Amino acid sequence: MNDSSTPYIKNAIRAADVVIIGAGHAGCEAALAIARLGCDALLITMALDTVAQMSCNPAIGGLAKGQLVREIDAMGGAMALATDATGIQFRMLNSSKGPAVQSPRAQADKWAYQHWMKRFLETSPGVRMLQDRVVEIVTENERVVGVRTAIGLEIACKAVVVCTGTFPRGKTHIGSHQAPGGRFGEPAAEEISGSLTTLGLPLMRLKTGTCPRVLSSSLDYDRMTIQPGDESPVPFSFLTRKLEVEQVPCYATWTTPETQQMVADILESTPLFNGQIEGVGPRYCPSFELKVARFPDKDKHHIFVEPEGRYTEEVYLNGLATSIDPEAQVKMVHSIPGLEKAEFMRFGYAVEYDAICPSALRDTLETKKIAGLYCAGQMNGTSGYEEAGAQGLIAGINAALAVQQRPPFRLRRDQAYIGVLVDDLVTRGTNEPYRLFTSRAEYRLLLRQDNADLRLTPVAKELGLVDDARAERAERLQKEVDDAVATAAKLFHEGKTIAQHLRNPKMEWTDVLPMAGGWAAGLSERVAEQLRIACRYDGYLQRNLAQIKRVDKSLHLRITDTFDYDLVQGLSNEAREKLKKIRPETLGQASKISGVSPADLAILSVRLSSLQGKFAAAENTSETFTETDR
Amino acid sequence: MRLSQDDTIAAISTPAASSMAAIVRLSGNEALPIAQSLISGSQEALPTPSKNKRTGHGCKPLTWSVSFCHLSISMAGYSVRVPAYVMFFAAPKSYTRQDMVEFIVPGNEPIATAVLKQCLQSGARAAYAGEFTLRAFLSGRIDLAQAEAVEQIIHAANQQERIAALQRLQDDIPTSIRTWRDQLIAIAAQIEATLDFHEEELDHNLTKSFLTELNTLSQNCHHITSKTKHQKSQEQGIPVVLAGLTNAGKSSLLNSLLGEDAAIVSSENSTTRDRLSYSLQLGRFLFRLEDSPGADNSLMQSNQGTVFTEGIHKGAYRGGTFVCLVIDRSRLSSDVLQLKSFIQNLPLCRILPILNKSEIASGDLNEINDCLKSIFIDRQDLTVVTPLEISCKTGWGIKELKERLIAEAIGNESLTDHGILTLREAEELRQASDHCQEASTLLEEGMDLELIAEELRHAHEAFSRAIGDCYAENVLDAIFSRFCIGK
Repeated sequence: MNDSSTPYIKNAIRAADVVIIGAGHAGCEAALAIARLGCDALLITMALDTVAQMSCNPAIGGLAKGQLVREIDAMGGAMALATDATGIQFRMLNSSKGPAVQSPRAQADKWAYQHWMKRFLETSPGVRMLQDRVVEIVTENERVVGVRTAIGLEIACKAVVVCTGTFPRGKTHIGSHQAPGGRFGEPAAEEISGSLTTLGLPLMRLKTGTCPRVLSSSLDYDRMTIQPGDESPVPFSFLTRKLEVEQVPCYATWTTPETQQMVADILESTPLFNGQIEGVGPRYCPSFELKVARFPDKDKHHIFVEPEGRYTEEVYLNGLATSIDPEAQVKMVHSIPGLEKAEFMRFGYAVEYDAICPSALRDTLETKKIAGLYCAGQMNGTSGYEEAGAQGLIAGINAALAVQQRPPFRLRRDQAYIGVLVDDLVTRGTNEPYRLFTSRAEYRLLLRQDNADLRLTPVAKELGLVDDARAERAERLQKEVDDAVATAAKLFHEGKTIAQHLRNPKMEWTDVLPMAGGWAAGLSERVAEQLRIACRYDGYLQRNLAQIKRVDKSLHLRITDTFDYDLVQGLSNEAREKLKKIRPETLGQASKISGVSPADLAILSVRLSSLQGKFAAAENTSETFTETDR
Repeated sequence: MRLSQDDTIAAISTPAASSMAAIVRLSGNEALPIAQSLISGSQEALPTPSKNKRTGHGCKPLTWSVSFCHLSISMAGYSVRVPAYVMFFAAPKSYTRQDMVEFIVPGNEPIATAVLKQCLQSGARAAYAGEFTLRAFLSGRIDLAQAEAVEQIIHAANQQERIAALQRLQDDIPTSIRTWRDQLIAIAAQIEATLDFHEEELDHNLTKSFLTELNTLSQNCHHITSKTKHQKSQEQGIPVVLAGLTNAGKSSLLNSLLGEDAAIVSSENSTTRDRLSYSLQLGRFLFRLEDSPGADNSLMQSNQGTVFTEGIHKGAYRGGTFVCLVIDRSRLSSDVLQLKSFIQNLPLCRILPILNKSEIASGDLNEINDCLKSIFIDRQDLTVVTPLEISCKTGWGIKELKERLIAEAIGNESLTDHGILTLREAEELRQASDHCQEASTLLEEGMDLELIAEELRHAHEAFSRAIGDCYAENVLDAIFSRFCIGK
């Protein structure tokens, strides 16, 4: 830390439009989006050797997460391209279920992934990278003007995106061993929390955990079930035409009653239960000791053995996240079939870290308090590389748009999982690491991984995030799909249209092909897929679309930052307090705050409408009151 | 509906009938000055603005007052002085949380109307139906459920209902809706878990038990909505058929009930050529009065009988249609045979014999009863309730008839332990029932789970609109509290 008497070095690094703090999955997407929009992005990381590090399991995608990666890709992001380039196993999950709940997932070679991403950043015009640690965000009049670093640099900028992951005051735990660190063996970012607190931003303490890594050659794979990749792997990116990859299998095994028993025996003395760890962990990805505590009757849990890379013997024991002491970890792993002689390479550990309460954020991921200060990723209380990347994209886009003095960008819940994610975070907040699920999306049938480019590439083009060629491709595809759907509704076979035949879930595409003559056979694979889904979900998609139209327009009424809830007669005290604290940006957001009743909303809506009317009449341009969501 | 709260509204808040007293109500910023302008002379019946809370300096704010005064009212071109009590409630300690004034004037309809007119001339706006309660709701004085309960108390037809409505005013959603909602969440959670965790599958036994549960859920919801009054009253109203021989006075009765010339009435036979139906609101019940052409023997044998029977059939509802059999009391004994053959064609129904024209007929009660007995002698299967004497011409007995109709409607609905459902809740439950049914059908057909989940989501949304929760968190909470799910 720079001594306060020493002046900061202002001329070593030239000013940037936007400084991104942290080069994890959020930081990378943020920097790339900022650069794509034509701004100058400076990505500052504590370690250039761990850019886009997969701290936890070596995989990208999964249910709902795969959809996010596709959406990031459709808007020009890098995550999908990196996965296609460095993946070693590709699977389409839920392939036996309907298209809306299918998601791509890939095991990546985690070192190859990092190197690919680092090089991609290095070669992206508009992105600069710097190894240093940001210790302070400099503001003037509650507006970002620069950052200061550990070695004493002061770099001017117009906006900052904080993507510090688990590093702010990070603390790792293995049994009774505790050490400062954002990942095990790496230092923590001790100063940034203080800087954020000084700026008046509310922080909370969260926790997450990782699984042990062991030596592959010490495992008995004969006692496990092999999980190969898909025969014809589907790429993540809409730009990747075909994957030519030699796939590496994963293996599945189960914990035993002995595993359960031995962990149950030591439960009280583990860091999670003896009070050593205070942060709140994720419910959906509980550590193994938590599973034992919460489901004492379940005597077996699935464990997946996943390779960390193509050229390493290190494998990840997915399903065994833990922070129990090393001796117990070894005993626990050795009680599992196939892992009896596992040689430990890295112990599982828990990490506690500071995160910002997401209700302090706008739906642009800018803090409500400090103009030009954006946050993304685990910093915002989420978990998952994909959730982080998606937020990085949104925060980066909005930081760049703000620098360029363009209107902010938002995705609605009916447009993208990214919209669901951001809306859930900033309106409901979270008190545990948040993960996306398909069940969080009320328009799940519309928001599919297979149509992310059709949904979002046109939007991205309008912003200038993707090039014309890509946008035209999406437009052309959309037109072909529309034509195909129209044709299928007109072509008859045995008294039914092709569309009607396709509605029947038992009808295979190969059954339908001969019915439609040469027409269907001439469709490209993507058009045929969209046609099949459009027919299969037909009535439901129509209903969803109708529902979107029906959503009360008043929910889009925007509430200004200066709106005075004390002047609104009749709000319940609880609602008034919560509204003042959370300061929702729209009536729709207000409607999701617990404690705000329909009566409170009716009152607010009357007040907002009358304000809107008055302002519209007075000046006709009062953006804050008349602007509705796109 | 207009939601403006800025203007001052006025209305007569007592029924338009003669009674001891009538109340004219004002609510809004201008309530006080408007009221003041009605009070004759320089009487200090109302607090002067300087005493009012909002402009008061240092003195204790006045929250309410009652005083006696005279109002200067213009009635039929004459200026009259009307004695009145005037009550003032200062904002925010009033029903609407606005300034409110209530004039209690003699319960004579023209006087109350004149007072209201005077208020309107002085700048008040005539209130829409329910607007005082709406303002109470919008100001946060009462919540939505309470507002609905107020509505119910006003329209409560009997003590049992009043008690149920008053309970609702204090809280609460019928507990059974919550129970059903929770059952639905349990099923949805299991299905969502199957969708959101790829290693999960729905096994055969679970599918089977979901089918049973969903069907039961759907039936329960359906049952409660069909048991409440709303489904019927919501659609077209509770059917009541007006039947009788030609010129017995069916159309006159209809007019007496409706209070206007709804049907063409004449003393010539069969001026009512087509069967017509009219809506009649009594208390909280909506009735559909079905007028039918007069029936005499010759017509009965031709096609008219069919028309009439169809009328009965169309109006059929649980427990048999309610038929008001209008009988000309002055001709009762001579019409017995015709009436007897007339009722031969009736399907199973409940019959209320209405003896009309009692103003020109005198007759011995025993004789009447004997006649009625012989009319119904061959149709013991019909339920005949106590006859009612009326006179359409003088209006005598009409009030009692209305009460009898309400009693009939109440008898037909069984208030269950579910309490009273509001119209809104009944509609939501009906939707929930439909979606559960659809989900069960899809599940049985082996359709995609995400479509079943979609139906369950809609069902849950319907429940939640009645209760007020959000879907994703409910379901995720259920998933994580019940299942141990990996990564």
